[in-house]
Amino acid sequence: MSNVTHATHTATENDNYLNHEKGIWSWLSTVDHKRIAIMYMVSILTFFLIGGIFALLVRGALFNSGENKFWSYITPDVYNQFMSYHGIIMVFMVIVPGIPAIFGNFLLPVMLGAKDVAFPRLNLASYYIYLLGAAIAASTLFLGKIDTGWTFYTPYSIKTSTSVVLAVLGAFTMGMASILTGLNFIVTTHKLRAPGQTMNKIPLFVWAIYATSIIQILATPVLGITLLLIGAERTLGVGIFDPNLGGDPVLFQHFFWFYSHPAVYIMILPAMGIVSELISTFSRKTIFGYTAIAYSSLAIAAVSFLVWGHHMFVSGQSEFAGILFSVITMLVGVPTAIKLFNWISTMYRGSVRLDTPMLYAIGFLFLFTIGGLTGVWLASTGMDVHFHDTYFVVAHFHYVMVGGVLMAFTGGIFFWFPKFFGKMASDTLGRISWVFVFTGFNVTFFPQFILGAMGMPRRYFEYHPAYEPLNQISTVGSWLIGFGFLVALVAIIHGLLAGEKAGANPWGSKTLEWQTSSPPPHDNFPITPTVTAGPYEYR
Amino acid sequence: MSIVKTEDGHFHHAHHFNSLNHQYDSAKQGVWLFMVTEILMFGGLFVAYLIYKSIYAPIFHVGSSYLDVKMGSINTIVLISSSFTMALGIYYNQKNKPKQAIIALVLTILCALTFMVIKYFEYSHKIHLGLVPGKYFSNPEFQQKVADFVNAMPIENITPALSDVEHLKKIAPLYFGFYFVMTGLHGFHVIIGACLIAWVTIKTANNQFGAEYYTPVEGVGLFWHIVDLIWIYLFPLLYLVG
Amino acid sequence: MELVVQYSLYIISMVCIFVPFFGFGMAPPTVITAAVGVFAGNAYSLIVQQGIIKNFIKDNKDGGKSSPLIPVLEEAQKAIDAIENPGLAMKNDHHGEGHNEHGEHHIIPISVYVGVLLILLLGTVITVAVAQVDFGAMNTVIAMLVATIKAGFVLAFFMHLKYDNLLNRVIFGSGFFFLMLLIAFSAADIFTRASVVKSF
Repeated sequence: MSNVTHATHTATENDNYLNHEKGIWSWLSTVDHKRIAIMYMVSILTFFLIGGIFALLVRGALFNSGENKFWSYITPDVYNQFMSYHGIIMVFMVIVPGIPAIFGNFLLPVMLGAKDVAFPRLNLASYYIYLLGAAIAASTLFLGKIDTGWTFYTPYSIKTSTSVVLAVLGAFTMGMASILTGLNFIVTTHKLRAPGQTMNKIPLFVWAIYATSIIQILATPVLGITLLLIGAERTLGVGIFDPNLGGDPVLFQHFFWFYSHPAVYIMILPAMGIVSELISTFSRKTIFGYTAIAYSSLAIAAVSFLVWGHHMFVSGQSEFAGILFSVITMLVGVPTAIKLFNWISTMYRGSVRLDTPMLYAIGFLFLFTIGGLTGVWLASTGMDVHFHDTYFVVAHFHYVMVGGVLMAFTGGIFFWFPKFFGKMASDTLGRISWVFVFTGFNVTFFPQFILGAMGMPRRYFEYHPAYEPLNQISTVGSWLIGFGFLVALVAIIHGLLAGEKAGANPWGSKTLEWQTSSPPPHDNFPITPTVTAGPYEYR
Repeated sequence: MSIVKTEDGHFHHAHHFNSLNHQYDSAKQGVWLFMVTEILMFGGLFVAYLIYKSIYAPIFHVGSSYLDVKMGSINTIVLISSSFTMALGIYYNQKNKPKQAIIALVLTILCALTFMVIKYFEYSHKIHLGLVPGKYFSNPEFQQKVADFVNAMPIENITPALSDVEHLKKIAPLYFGFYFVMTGLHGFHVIIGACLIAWVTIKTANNQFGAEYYTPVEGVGLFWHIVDLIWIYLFPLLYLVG
Repeated sequence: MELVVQYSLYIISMVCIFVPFFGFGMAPPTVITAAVGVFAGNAYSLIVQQGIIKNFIKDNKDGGKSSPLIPVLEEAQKAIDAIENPGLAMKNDHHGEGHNEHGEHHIIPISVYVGVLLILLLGTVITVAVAQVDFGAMNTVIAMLVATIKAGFVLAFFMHLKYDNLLNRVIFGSGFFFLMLLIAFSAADIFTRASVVKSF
């Protein structure tokens, strides 16, 4: 690695991480966390597009209640494959890595005043491991396909003839990447803070990524062993999950959800971190209750490990366990609510500007609240008996994952776009995209709450005609969302090609990343900053 | 490589750290975090094993009698000794004595290979007897022994799970499913560990370490000790407690 | 103000977590103990982070009303430093780095390694011997106990944890703790499958 001539590099005014070195090999072999973040962004947005296409296919198939779908290729088995791929791609390839891999990678070191993450080469390795996992999982598209759903429940996943072993291998590999990224972030947060930056002065986005990384380290290995055991079960007939061979399918669910429930908090915590940044910047006000939000992030991370059984209330779990998990699940809403009230309190008597990122943040507040509250209903065992495996659950998790995570994600893209690329994305196009995404989202998923309450089961290829009108509304909504995200994509591309040049701090934010140029220089800061004030001191 | 040894024999730290110490501390913390993931991964297997063992105790009792305690004990001693030689390998690197370090590290690799050889004998013996996981299992004698054991149990100890003897005979291979997956995954980590130790041995031989910088040796050492740690738990659980 | 919110949060979450487990009888003492413990831990970390004792000593070193306290506080600060930085000066990396440039890593003498090796070999003999005796249901527990003692030696000496900084111990301990959670809750399900909860 060349350690020389840093002075001359940073002396040139236009030298930044984008033009620091040229050529495709310099990108593919980079250890610069900012370039790795951009590469993740390209991959993740591509996978999001593919997962979105599968979503449109699923909703398109559900437009008609009977067997005659819009495309004769769609049989019940094919429908199962569509919904499985939608889940696998969105969960493992888009939302779990999403915000940490893109925003965490780019911003964590900059927000801490560091020159890079703790282990830059490991960072690059994580990216390639992630791509390898995605490739392995994608290979199933051309081999046996997958129809088990993203949850790989036994005994079906053991008996089906689809390419389960490849799919679980792909998910295992992507999990590996997730672990290594989390590890990198934890050590970076512990060890690479700028002088003067105590843990009480780091931005809330960093707290969020830190809590997320702790979950990644503790939960993902259990998913790893579970997936390996599915592979062993299929190839060797080990018998651990197959009832015919003495196994317990509910044990699979325990192991699976021990990871997958904390996984949904891996998805939402970074989104909440972004929202903290957006709300304080666009209200031009110190965030209300910094300590409470920081500790709530840690509390959510901790309590998330105690609630996984709420996915298994009707699976054959014991009644005692059901009660235990139900009570603790109610608890996990408490830190989340604390955060929500703090964000609203931040906006109160602040100087609110409704730029695109703020629109997405406010959208988050509204949609995530609905999603979270319906989660509390599902936490109650009595209600869950009726709602489990209906569209109510589908609506709930889409409200928190799309209405929550994706809204924050898109808001973050528009917010940090000038920092990443030195240009402003079109605010008008951004607002248009928001209108379509927000409206389309509600049109798609609110009817699904009603459908679920009416009893429509999820993952069904055909359904009773009485459910048809609401399904058709939902499908039209999915087209609106698709259009909205397309407009957002156009806004990004337009910004890249023809956006007006952005200064170091176009939004007037106070966190460290805005105190360096847009785009940042290769080493993030011309000289290492010394932090004397907190991250949100607007007055 | 982020650590560069210059001509005068000094090491330079990577530019995003403040000092060699800073880099060493951070690297160590990273390795410990990774060890946590290893613990949780194997831990999942232990959880499943413990649960099934309490439900289907007779199967596990009879099954463990098929394991050779002598070979298991020798393997335990081999691994503990390899942990010792690994610690020595780190020690001699800390003291700037590459030649002794290489001897210690090579001994560690030899212990690892001994472990795998003994494991090979155990496995081939079992495969020969048909004591393999579910699909390929073919040892009715084992299944009959389980049935006999259950039939000989006092009636008040027969839980509902143990009441259907025919079913128990059918699911008896579950024990060997666990045995092969747990020891197999562990053996895989032994092989990876041996490769990593070979890597640091080569680097030691090329004089790339010294008292100022021996972080990779220590990192590999931590990994190797975790492998030993897991066996310390695996051995009594599988071989002894049945 | 934020401290009040913080501590109320602690107390609320302690109540919510412990009441279901211990019922309303046992819960208050558990909650109070936990809250006090958390308070103490938090106060300790605030002292360490903001150097409250260090600053007080600095400000009042030259006599004045608090001088009898100074020696006591200095001892306390030394104890805190020993707990926080037993081997390497992790937190001093940004300031006192010249002092630590060439690594004052604690090196364990070979004699200790040999001693631990002998203890571990002895432990293996004990493990096998103890397994020959049937303790019934306690078999597994005793075997795990012996294994844990052996593991403790490997961790403390071969893996250097005894001389390492607190954070690495916490990191490793958390792994075990969460593993215990997995066991506890899965067992809570599987071993209560047969029982039916009639009422509260």
